[in-house]
Amino acid sequence: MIDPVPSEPTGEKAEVQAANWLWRLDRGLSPEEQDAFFDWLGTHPQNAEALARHRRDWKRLDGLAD
Amino acid sequence: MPPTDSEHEQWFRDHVMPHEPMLRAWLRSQFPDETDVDDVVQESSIRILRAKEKGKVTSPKAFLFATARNLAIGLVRKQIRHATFSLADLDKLGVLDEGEDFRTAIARSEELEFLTQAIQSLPDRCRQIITLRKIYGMAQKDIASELGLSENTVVNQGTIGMSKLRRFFQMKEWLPPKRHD
Repeated sequence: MIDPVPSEPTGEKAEVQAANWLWRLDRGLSPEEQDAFFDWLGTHPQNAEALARHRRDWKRLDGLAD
Repeated sequence: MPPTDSEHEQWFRDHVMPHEPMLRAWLRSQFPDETDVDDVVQESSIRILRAKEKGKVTSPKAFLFATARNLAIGLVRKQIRHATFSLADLDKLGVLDEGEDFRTAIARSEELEFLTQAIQSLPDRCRQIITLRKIYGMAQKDIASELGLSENTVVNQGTIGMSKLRRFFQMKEWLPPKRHD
């Protein structure tokens, strides 16, 4: 199931969507999801920025595993 | 370590004493003589209390270790002046003066404390999922079966968790130490 992607993401929404993509990317995307992902990514610069922030947080948590 | 009144005494117990074992361990690695270790711990404690009375201590741990390091440098210099030093002491001075590993260790332990706080601030389900994924390195599929959840729920709870963490990090505005290289 792919949640609908709103066309005008507010900062907050982009943040949550990005977190959602982060987890989906982590588990692996279906071909359908891949298309949806790139659509989402290209929709608004805010999306890519939000995803980058989440990726950084994700990586930062690795500190707990060392 | 004589705090002067009960308020400072309480603060000292809560915010300084927990760091003493780590401080001693580090000092012991630099000074074989336990008397030196005691002296430095004692003097650092007095100084941090004095600073606290003037309201100047924002990070007790950082303050304590920085003070101890300065005192340790002074001690080694004194030993050198009094010619009771060996070549090993000169090495020690270099290590203490530079102190890079030490600062890194402190920054790292603060980062770990901070991340632990962040994880602990999460609701149970999110916390379990993020812990299993990031600390135990389990795949989402395995987390789902371990917790008896659907894979979608893992994604959704994980999403909530990461969103909350983002807000936590933003709120605290605490950035990991930048490396300038």
